[in-house]
Amino acid sequence: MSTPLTTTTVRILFEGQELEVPAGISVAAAVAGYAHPGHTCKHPVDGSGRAPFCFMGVCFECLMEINGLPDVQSCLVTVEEGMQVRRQPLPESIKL
Amino acid sequence: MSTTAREHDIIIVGGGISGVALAYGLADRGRQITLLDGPTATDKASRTNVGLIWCQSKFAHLPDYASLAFLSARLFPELSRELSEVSGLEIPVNYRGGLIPCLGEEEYSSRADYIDRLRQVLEEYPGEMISRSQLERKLPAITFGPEVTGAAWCEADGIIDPLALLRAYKVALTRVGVTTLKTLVHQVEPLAGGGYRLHTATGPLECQQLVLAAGLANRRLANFAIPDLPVHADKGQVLLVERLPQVMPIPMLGVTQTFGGTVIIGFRHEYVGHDTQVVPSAVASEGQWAIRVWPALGKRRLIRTWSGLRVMPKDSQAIYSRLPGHPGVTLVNTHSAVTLAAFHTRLLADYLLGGELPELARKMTLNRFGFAS
Ligand SMILES: Cc1cc2nc3c(=O)[nH]c(=O)nc-3n(C[C@H](O)[C@H](O)[C@H](O)COP(=O)(O)OP(=O)(O)OC[C@H]3O[C@@H](n4cnc5c(N)ncnc54)[C@H](O)[C@@H]3O)c2cc1C
Ligand code: FES
Repeated sequence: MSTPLTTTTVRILFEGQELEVPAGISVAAAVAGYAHPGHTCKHPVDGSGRAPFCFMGVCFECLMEINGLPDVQSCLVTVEEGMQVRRQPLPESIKL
Repeated sequence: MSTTAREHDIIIVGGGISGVALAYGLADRGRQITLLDGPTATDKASRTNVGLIWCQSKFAHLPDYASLAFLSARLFPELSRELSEVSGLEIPVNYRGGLIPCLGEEEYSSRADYIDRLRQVLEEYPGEMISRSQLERKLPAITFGPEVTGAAWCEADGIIDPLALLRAYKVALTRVGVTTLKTLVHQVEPLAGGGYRLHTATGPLECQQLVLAAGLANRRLANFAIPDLPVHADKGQVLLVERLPQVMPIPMLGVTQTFGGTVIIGFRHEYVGHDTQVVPSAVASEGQWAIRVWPALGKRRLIRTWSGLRVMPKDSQAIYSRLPGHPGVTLVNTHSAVTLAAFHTRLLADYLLGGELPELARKMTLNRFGFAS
């Protein structure tokens, strides 16, 4: 018989909603797996909803705002207790 | 591996943008066309380029070559429509002209002088220098850096998604009866009774007529006739900025927004052989220039960097030529094979079949390097 998994968890906030997720996973995995967010950012050109895709730092579809910092590849960041995660701010607000 | 050679009519070696453009142009001539393409580690120009259809501000010293780009650009809209129809694929493209931003007064005036010279040699030139405020009117969503004095503007330029173009050609080829084989050609051997045997990774193939369009690899493939083809690797290195909302309805040279919203920064030319390393200090200098042009880029994320080897004939002009002593072999090499794709498809088929070169390209054979034809 296999030993039951004891998983430590941390709590993060996604768009203000508290999620309890396994420690050690990426923010992208936490949000995709526990918040079912639909989308986590919008394509700056066509406005379509996007979400983490490759989970390994290649596709840049997982950009989110983490602890106030926009434009972060959330698949490359590990969840931490109390982390504040939001959808990537809409590109219209960017001054070019 | 099979040892009996298979007979072909016309073989084209190279399935980059040059090879596919030539193959598509030959498709309706009632001949059997076979295109051979094998992936190599360094011949990736057709997969690493910016996709500019670029005519302006180049080749004042080679007026025919300058004119060739304008001619190809004029042929492009109809060709890209046709390729979309035949392949069923969308090819993002815009024919709204092109801009070269200038930093400082000196750069502006030397660019203006160059364009004057070009206007004189070409007699007709669909472009001009524009002031900073005119530039701002063309690209109103971009805030330019304080050093930007204006730009060179040309209405004949444009931009096409280069991967979509390549893919559309490849799919179109399957619909017009061209056979594509995935294999690497090691060596070309002329046969005593005429014709050629190609030693490939999947066995020998024989053909009556041969077109060499394999980019830098043409040097090796042509060495049975020319030991030292005057074509060199010209390395470009680029930075890719994350997707931004579409703010560049007209492409700028050196810092160009793609159809997907990313921005490609790059303009370096380096002659360092087959080295494809990305050098951080080199790409950084390109990024610094781009920020002087468009400061907001400094705050955006870089998501990738890559290098590519341009296929550069020694005098920077295209080579369209038979090989010396081999009227059955035609060689094509150019460093602007995206821009020239429409010319290659529409106006080179007769030459590939043994006819004359179009007037404008008559001086672009290997004769200019001292090789007899
Ligand atoms: C960074 C960069 C930016 C550029 N920007 C532009 C631009 O904006 N506009 C423009 O017009 N041009 C641009 N260029 C240049 C343009 O990309 C090249 O002129 C063009 O891609 C050359 O195409 P080609 O088909 O002749 O050669 P390649 O692209 O090198 O294709 C050769 C093909 O032959 C295959 N091959 C090679 N050896 C063999 C073999 N032995 N057997 C079988 N197959 C073989 C290769 O795998 C490849 O598919 C740019 C180039 C670079 C590097
Ligand atoms: S999910 Fe692809 S880069 Fe993060």
